[in-house]
Amino acid sequence: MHTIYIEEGGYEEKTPVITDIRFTLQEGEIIGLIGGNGAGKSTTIQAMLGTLPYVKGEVTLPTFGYVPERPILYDYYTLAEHIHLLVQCSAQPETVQKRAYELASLFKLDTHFEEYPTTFSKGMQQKVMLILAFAPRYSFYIVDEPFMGLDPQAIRALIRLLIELRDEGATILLSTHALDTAEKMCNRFLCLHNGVLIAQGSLQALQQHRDEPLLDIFDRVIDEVTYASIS
Amino acid sequence: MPLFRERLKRQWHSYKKLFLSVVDITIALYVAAFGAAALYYFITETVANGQYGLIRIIPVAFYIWLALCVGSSLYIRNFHEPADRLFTMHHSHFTDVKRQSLYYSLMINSFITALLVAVTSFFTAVVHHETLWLSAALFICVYALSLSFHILALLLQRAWLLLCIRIGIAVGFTYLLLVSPLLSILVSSLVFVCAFTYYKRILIRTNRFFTPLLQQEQTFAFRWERRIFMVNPDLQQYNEAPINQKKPRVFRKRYSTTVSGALVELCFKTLWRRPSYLNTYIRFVIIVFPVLFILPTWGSYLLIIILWIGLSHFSESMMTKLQQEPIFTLLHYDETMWFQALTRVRRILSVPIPIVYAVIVTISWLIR
Repeated sequence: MHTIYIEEGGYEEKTPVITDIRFTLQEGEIIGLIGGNGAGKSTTIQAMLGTLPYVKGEVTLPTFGYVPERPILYDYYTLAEHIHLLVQCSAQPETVQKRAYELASLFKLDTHFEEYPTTFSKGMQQKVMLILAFAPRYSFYIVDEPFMGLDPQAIRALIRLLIELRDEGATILLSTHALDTAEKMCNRFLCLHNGVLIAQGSLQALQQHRDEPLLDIFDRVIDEVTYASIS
Repeated sequence: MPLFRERLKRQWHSYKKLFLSVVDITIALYVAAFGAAALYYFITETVANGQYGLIRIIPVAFYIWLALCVGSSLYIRNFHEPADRLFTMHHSHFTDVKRQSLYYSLMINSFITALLVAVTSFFTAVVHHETLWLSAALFICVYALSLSFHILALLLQRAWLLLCIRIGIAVGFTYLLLVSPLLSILVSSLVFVCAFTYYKRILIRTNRFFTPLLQQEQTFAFRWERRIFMVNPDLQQYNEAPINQKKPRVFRKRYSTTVSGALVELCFKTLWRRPSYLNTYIRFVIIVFPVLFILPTWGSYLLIIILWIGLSHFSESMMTKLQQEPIFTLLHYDETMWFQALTRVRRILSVPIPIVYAVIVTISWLIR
């Protein structure tokens, strides 16, 4: 189990964007990080990655896989060379290579190995990111908006992959706006609003009544916070 | 006049700023060291011995041509702002403005002639023409050249063809200056000027001059800006050259079997596939080679050392830039692997060429 505590974090020292975010990461669970635009989801992820300029708190994580919101590719390398670089940097090259080629086949990129990913479509580039993140086996994954740009078959394959990794004991922090998808696969949710963690827990713990959808829970929780701040 | 002085000051200030942003300390050091070595050679081996060495070997025509080119460049850079052309374009239906542009160019050519007289006064001792007549001939030649360049730019759209024909015309005029009697130079230049002026008037009257010329200058200006972006490392991040191919043509195979090997492979494939890196490396290597045969032996060895330093710095800065690529936020590797890879890359890129050059210089010294 790992505890994440971000007392405050932001892009400048005296202007924090996120404050008092504390949650734990348990083995074998998918945690949904949800919030509106500008709520602080990406800032929280940056704080966990160590790329946020100003962070005060305790963030210690094991080596993890990361799927960024926007594809990060090297302009002058082909897909096969991206995989080769990943394989060489990993501790078990043969296993990672086999897994990478399996994922490429799963996401239907196996005929594009010798092409530059920068010439791919948005969805194909996102698939490359999924291959690079999920080919090695980690105990923790951060996945930021993975469904953006994917076709329906790829979305289904990704959901199965995430559930499979969870069942094998990995922890996955999933930031997404696709609440109906998150509702079906996440074990717990972290709701962010204006840089503050306003609610966290399982779907059943957050529901006021049975079958209350996640979107309604989210609206209700934000309204409660807004009303509390006014009064 | 005060406005003109102000504009000149502003223009030189912006060119100086642009030049400083393009040149980094490595290139400046390289040029300064080479310049100092070359100057020392010229002073001790030639002028100090009462000989003019290279100046005797290279024809005077080359220096006159060089002066004409420098003069034309100064004329274009200092007196032709894009705003002038845009103003002319918007008022292209006003004949007065068009007429004034011709008078303006006459005034500019007078300035250029005065500049060239100062330069060519040195050559009057060699060529034995009277300075005054030479000035008049140069004035007409320069005017004729600039006139012809405009017309040719409109007629010939290919930049390389245009350059060759301009060089041909400049060399032709230079030859005339050196071998023909002055009267024939003046007559032929006047005929040339009249013919081109008449043709230019026809083009202006039929609205086929300013518009295509402005479009062409805009194209050349944007092309120049793109080249500046490609040279300056800081500006490159704002304007990267996209890859136009779907897949690489060569070196597609993966050759490495270790982490440091993979990083070295990344470096060399980037060097091959990224035109700006490859051009920089080739430029370093090619520029030095002919200079080795001009300098004295000790100068050549010094230049080889400078080349080695330059190539080492280039390989190091390339690897440092690669390490900052965002892709490495997704990969987990030992930092020591980068140092191993850097050492190997530096050794491969900066050692063989200087060794080969040193061998060539040594052999040529032994043969002498």
